Amino acid sequence: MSDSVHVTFIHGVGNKPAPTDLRRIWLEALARPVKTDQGFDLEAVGVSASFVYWASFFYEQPLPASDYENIDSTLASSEGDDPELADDDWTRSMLEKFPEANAPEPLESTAEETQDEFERIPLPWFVKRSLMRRFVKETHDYLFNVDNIRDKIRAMVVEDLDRVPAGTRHVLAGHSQGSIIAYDVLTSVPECKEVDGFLTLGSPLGIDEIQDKLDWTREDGFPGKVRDQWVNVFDPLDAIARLDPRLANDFRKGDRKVVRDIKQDNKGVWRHSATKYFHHQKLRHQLRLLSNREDA
Amino acid sequence: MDPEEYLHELEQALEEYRFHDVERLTYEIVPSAFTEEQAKATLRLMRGKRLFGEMEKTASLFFMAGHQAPEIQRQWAQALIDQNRLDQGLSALQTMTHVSESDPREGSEVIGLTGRAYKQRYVGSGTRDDLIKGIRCYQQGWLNRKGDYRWHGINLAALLTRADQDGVDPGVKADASRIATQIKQEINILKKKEVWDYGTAMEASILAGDKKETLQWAQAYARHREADAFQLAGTLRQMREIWKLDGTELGDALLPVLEYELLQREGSQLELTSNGSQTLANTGFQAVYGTEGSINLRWMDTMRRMAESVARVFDTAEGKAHGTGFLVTGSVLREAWGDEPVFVTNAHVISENPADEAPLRPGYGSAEFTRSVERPSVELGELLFSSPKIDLDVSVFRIEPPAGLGPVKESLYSPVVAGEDERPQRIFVIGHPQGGELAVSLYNNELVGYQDPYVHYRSPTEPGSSGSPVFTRQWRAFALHHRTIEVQQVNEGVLLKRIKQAASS
Repeated sequence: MSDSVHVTFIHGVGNKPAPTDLRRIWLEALARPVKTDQGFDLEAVGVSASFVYWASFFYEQPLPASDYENIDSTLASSEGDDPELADDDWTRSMLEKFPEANAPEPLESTAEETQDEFERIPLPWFVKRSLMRRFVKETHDYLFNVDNIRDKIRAMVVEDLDRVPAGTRHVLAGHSQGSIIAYDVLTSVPECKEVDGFLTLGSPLGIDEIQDKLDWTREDGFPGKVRDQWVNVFDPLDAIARLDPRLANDFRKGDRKVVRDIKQDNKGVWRHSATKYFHHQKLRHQLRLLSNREDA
Repeated sequence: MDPEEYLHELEQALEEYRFHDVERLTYEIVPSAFTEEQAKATLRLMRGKRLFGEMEKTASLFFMAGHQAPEIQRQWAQALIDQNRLDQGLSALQTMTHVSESDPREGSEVIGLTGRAYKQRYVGSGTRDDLIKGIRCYQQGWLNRKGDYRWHGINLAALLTRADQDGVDPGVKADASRIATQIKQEINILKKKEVWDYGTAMEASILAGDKKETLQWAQAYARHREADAFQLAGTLRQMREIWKLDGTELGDALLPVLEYELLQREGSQLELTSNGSQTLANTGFQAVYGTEGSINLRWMDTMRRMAESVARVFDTAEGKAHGTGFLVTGSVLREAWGDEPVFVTNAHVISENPADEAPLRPGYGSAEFTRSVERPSVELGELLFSSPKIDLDVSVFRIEPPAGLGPVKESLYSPVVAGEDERPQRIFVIGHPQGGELAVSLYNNELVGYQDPYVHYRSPTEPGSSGSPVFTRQWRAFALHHRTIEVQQVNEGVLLKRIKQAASS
């Protein structure tokens, strides 16, 4: 049997560096040795990768690579950079869940508490507002197919999946809104091919308003086109995923909990960061398992 | 070929490390058609990639065609010196003593190159006269204060220090410490520092014995984007051969950092002399990279441990080197061989099959582990498996490795070949080029493609590298170096996973 493996990545909300830069940054983040892990260098162990790049539907110019997930650049560019949101019930409902997306000034409690942890260094309120508004807008536009964006992105994903040669083990990985897109294509696009593994990280798929716009039921929400496992990695302080970070309960397979929810601690200010997820040994371990590269 | 066209093709061939094409292009040169500037540009391009053989041939062609500018003559001498033909290089330079008057800048280059030739001769022979002549050259360059005179100055200070250590009377009145101090002062106030200024200041700090300051300059120098592999390799040589930093506290901190940076570049090779399995010091990495230091240190440490498992294959009776080989866990290639290491090399290095035309037969070969203290040698045991040169070109032997030496980490996967606009997959070959010291090849280490069961890559390897392990950038051996395919200008390795399949069937 062939040992070839391919991972298709779908990025999340916000502007991104040009496709080749984003690819390099993500793969390097996975390969970078950290104290607890020597790095998972996909290509060195024969795992090919492709990226579905959809940021260009929302942004005219790609982000300079040096500004990507760089908090200083984000601080500099965020004030006054708030996208206009749709005036509809769905958006209002989302804003109730993410009040920071509409905050005209700092909210009273900037430390985000969960059961056992809190964020010691909160992100400045205006930065968080800008990031959350982008999340609400881009998710809205996708789910409501504004300017046919959903159709266009779906087609890109299907095209990418079609390029993977037969006999290749295939893992689909989505960060943030990328996980919504991946789920949507797997469940609602008939011509979408099956994949072997599904990885979501920092996913907002647990939010009711999002589930309601997808082809989903709680009892049978596990995509039939995922042959093996769905692993969901989250940081409980991830601003996007934190409302309902665990997915096993919401995406059952014949009413059985099968999604593996893996909690990790990304540390720092912006825990939704894709590269922070990739730096963590827990995510790498899960990706190794999904890619049949446990020894890599 | 038209000179413009030639220069264009030369530049491209050099950029892509197609050295055979460079050689072919040399035959198409019509030297009389070149302007002097075009001739100089040609030699500079070749020098940039250290192609000294071609540079020598080409310089002499230009010279004979009447291009006798001092720079062309000096580049010719440099080509000879860098091929270690020191006496011939010095002869060429001695005819240029008049240059200093007509062209002070070029004259300064000539003086520096002459000093370098004597310095190299002293390192090789230990003859006091060479050291003294080297010192005089560099002193002249330093005092003339023309061109890059600080480079002469730091070499003067280094050689004076070395003379003092070796008990040689240099016969000149000069104080190494004062020179070094002056150099640092001058560099400190430079508005725009070039990459070599940082390297020079680093050497000046070594003389002062100031470890902290040395590492500060090393941080600026080694991580400088313009510090290429050749500069770093030259600096490492100077640190080892002139400053004798190996085994010193400063050397333990500085040398691994320079080695690490060299391994991140392309276009040279890192020689790995035996220095035992000592643990790398973290101080240098911490000083140069901060919190990232421990990660880089671990990468270097892994490389060193992998290199310990690589050995020179030689004729037990005659001692002549014939190739390279390495230790792999037996069960990786065949379950029945158990967890003890076996030794892997090419069938064309050692085989009982006459068709392989191997210089060694089983029972006559040994392995010398040159990275270990005292460079232990062991005889290769029973031949466990062999596949002919025209197939997998592998011989696997039972071996009792010297104490403390284990197998390389292996990978039975094939790294992905980069697509268009993607960063190429980098691979490393560790072997004994020309049967010499163990070295890591850094020349355009690009994975080119596969032709099952083979992998193709661009690292130019030399005879003696046969049987070397080919590593991924995470130091996992995934192939056995097998041969060079001249026509395609690529090297070919055999995938370990295919060797496993064959050995297990």
